[in-house]
Amino acid sequence: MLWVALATAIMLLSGELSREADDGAILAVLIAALRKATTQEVADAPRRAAALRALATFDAGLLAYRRQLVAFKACIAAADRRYGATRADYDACSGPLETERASLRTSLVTAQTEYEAAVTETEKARVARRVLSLPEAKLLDSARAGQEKAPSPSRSRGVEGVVTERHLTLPRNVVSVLYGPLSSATFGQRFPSRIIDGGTSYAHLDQGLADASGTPADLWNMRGGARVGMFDDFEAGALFMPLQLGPKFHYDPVLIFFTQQLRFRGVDWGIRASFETPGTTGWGINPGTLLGFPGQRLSARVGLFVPMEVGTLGHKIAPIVGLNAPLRITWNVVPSFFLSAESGVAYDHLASKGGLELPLGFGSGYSLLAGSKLIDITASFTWDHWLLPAPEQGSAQVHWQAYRVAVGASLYFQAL
Amino acid sequence: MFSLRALVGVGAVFGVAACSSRPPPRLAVELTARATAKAGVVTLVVSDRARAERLRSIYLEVVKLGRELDRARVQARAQCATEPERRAGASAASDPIGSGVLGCSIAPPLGDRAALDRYTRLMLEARTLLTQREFDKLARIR
Repeated sequence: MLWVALATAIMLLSGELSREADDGAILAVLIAALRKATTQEVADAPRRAAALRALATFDAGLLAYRRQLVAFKACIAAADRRYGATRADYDACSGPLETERASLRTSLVTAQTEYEAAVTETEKARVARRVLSLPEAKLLDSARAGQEKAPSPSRSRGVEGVVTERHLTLPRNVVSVLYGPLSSATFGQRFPSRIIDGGTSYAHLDQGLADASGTPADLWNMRGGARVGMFDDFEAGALFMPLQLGPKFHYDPVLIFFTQQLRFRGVDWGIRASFETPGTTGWGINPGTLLGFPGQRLSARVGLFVPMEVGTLGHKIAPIVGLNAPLRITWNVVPSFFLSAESGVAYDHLASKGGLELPLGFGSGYSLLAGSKLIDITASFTWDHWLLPAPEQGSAQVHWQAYRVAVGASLYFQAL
Repeated sequence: MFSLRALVGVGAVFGVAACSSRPPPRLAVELTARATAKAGVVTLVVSDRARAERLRSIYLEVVKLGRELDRARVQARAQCATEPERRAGASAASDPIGSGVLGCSIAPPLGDRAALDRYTRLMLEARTLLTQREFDKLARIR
């Protein structure tokens, strides 16, 4: 059993392209345990020393093989990076590995022979029992190995390039440092008392709207954060640097969001939960759902959100509940440059009459590859309160003087 | 309130930093990661749609190759330990070297040569579709 386990362990590291697994740490634990058990169970000092020498032979062979495996990987990586690399360059990578594989076999045969000559059957049984009782040994058990399933991710885990081809959530292990408008995560983040987007923004309200909403007529903001693809179709993130720069500097509420996505043929359906840390109107909550239609040149996003501000335990207010259904169309003029248009309907406070609004916005962006990172440089211009089709008093109104300009850049990279 | 927000902010920064560590990968994982990274952005580097699509399919084939290698690893691992035991009865358990367990492990039925050949073929084809400049740009990604 002892040698079956060790043979299985060696098999894990024994050469074929796929075999170099992350099992090196497990094997190190097993060999250390084998050494310890041999030290404790073999009473006779000369035999013990011989057994430990046998283990050292095996250990050295394994180490040399693992080193060669690292060299093999580096060789393949180097060939991958060279434009002029030929088949001969790739073939040359595996030669030394074959030699080292033969040496490993020899060192194992030697180790087995020497070890078995040094220990008695009883001692060997005791050592085996101790080593094989370790949880790590169970990972090498053949029955269990047969049941193991290789993971097959349902989605490519690289950074997505062309904007219109991107899905609602980031792929797993992709991180975005968000500091620009038009990001998927800030699509539909319109709370009753503030509209949130990334980057540096300037919002101007005409006096009527400023008085009605209680917000300053001229507002400068700077919002940045991060998004992480945690699973193939689940992302989490936060705008944890939400600063109001003017008219008065202060730290705005932090926005935290989680999005789960289901991908169908040509359509992505997402469910998003967003929270805002307490501001003047308390906690903000913005649950909603969104649909994405990615495409080679053209994509569309539409959402339905129920944003609300609900006060805090210490500062109770009647909840302010709104409704927001944004729509964004994006067109990649060329793969690296896109234009976007957005509108939709928004009702920031359902309890007040005549609050239905139609926003109108435009945006553009340039996607730039910088080494291993992708940078989206984006800008947007939005009339957030463009059309009030049925105000409480009077007829439909168009607010050309209430606009928001935002600019920034977001960075994407693979974390692993 | 400021301190709560600042705490959330700092926590998020540490969270992102913690997720950014890189464990040592297997070769199949490395090949897959390099191909995956390129597949997503190849359309940004290669403006010709037909070439970009073929390149993307090459990189996705490498990703598939990586998965096949992983699956083969698990299967071969189980087969190497069980087949000689079946053939030789109890002797395999006591003598894995003599019974062939180790031999199977070291030279398993699934040859690495075929996988490496396939990988090499794909990488060489990718070069025929790329200019030196495009190749260098993609190589810098990973």
